[in-house]
Amino acid sequence: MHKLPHVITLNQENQLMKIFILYGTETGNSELFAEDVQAALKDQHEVTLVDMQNATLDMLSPENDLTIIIISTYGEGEYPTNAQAFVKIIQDKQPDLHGCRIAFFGLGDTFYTGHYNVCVKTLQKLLTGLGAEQIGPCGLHDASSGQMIDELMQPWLDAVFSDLKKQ
Amino acid sequence: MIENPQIAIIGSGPSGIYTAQFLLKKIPDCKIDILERLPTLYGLVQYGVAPDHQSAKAITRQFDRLFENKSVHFFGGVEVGNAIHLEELKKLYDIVIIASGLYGDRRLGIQGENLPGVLPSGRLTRWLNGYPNEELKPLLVGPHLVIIGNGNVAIDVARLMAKTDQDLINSTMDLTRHALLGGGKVKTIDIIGRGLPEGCKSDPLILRELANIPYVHLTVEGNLTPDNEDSFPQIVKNRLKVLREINNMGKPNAPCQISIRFQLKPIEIIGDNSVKAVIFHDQNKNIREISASAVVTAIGFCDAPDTVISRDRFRIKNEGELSYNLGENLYSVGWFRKGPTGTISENRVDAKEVVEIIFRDLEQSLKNKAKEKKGLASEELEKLLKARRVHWFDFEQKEEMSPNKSQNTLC
Repeated sequence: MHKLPHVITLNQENQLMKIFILYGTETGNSELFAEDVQAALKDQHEVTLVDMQNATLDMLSPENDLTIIIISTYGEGEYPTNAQAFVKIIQDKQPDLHGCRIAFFGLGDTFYTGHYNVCVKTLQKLLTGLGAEQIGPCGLHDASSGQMIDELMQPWLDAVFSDLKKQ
Repeated sequence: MIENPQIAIIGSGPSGIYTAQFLLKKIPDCKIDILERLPTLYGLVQYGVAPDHQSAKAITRQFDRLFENKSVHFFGGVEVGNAIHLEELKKLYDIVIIASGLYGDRRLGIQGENLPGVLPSGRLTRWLNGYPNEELKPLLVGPHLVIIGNGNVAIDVARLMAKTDQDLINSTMDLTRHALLGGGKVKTIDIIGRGLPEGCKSDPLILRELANIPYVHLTVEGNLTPDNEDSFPQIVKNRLKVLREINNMGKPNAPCQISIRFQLKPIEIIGDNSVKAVIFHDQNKNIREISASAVVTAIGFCDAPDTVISRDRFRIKNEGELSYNLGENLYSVGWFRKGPTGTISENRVDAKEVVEIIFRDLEQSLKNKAKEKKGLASEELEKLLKARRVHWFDFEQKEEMSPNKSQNTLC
């Protein structure tokens, strides 16, 4: 069986946090990773998993404790099909994202030189440019590394939540 | 809604696996049996995706997770229509989904196509991927390879035949077979399409990948700056841009010379006991002869000659696509349904769609008639197969059945 990592305790008060996980996926790898992140968090927090196709701007609101964006990079640096419309909405409407906390994770492939994880990096720039605060380091998985993506999840989540705790 | 609907999926390629994934999300209490003609899993991912595209093949890790679910069973080496009839399956299961893809090579239909030295691309890539049942005669491709077609498969074949063993060490290429073909020793490769450069179907990424092989010099013949370029969709403009960029990248003395040519229609393959040349008509119907020691046809896929469940059987007139529902409790998805176009991720979208339709139909079926309670279809199937002395492979046996157990490594 696939082992799920230990659940994370947020802080001493152990509040129920409102977390949105938005995923942009082309072949399903990001979706599966997003589901794993959800499974790791759902016992401790109020987690909503959203296909970016169905994402709305209020999911990037300061009202939420955290928004997690998990997105792959395709072809010559294209956004996954299910993410394109939402990214366009953000680009067009330029919403004020001050107070909004976002963690990022990208799935890419160094095999395609020059395009490695450009989607997560562009999105990161776009959203922080609109005032959003980035929580934790941007997680990156390289399909050509041979490393299992599952191994990256716990250290990345730990870093994200320790950053969140500081606030 | 029927409780615990029992579903059979024919084929364990990407369309079949995606369909199973979406079924479990939409109908969590369903039971799924996946029947696969081959003893091994994942069809096209295993045998169609090029062996040097390991990160694309890594999707099998995602697929493997499906089988952690105890409601999913794999029956490898069970060909529907052979070990068990489609009609029998339809009786055993609430829903049967054909996701068997298309693995036959489309033929050119010209004289000389049966000469030794003419290789259909599907068979060739299967062979190089270590496919168990492929009987490609070991034959040397020789110094001059002509590839007819300019889609992704054609470019894959050019790259795989240009690359030396040294560059395939981190791949799952069957190196013995690659050597038998004379891979890495080809001097000229002509990649030939009937249409204009703007109609070239290959992905810019793999065009660049081909041009970037250090010992390959690539030229593109044809008008790469058409007057009406501005009116083309962005994707076509990008492709033309890439074709211009990769043309003549400055390695004119490289040992392997690759030419991409357009607007040539194959008329005949000539030779006595083996291929000598291919005759083409250019856009003005002038004859053009290109010498060849071997020809690979890469012009698409269709029903295989030995296929038992033929796609044509379900086609209405000349319609390209089949319906999702093929009548009663039978459904189709992926290449079998749409025809042989679309990437793995596009077929994922198709899988999502067929699951929506099945879900809707299952809800409907409750209103109409509650199906009689049946036994566990898996067990019934096992009983049937045992009685027929059909041996099958389950998921746990996948390691021993895998074509290239370990990757090639330097030792």
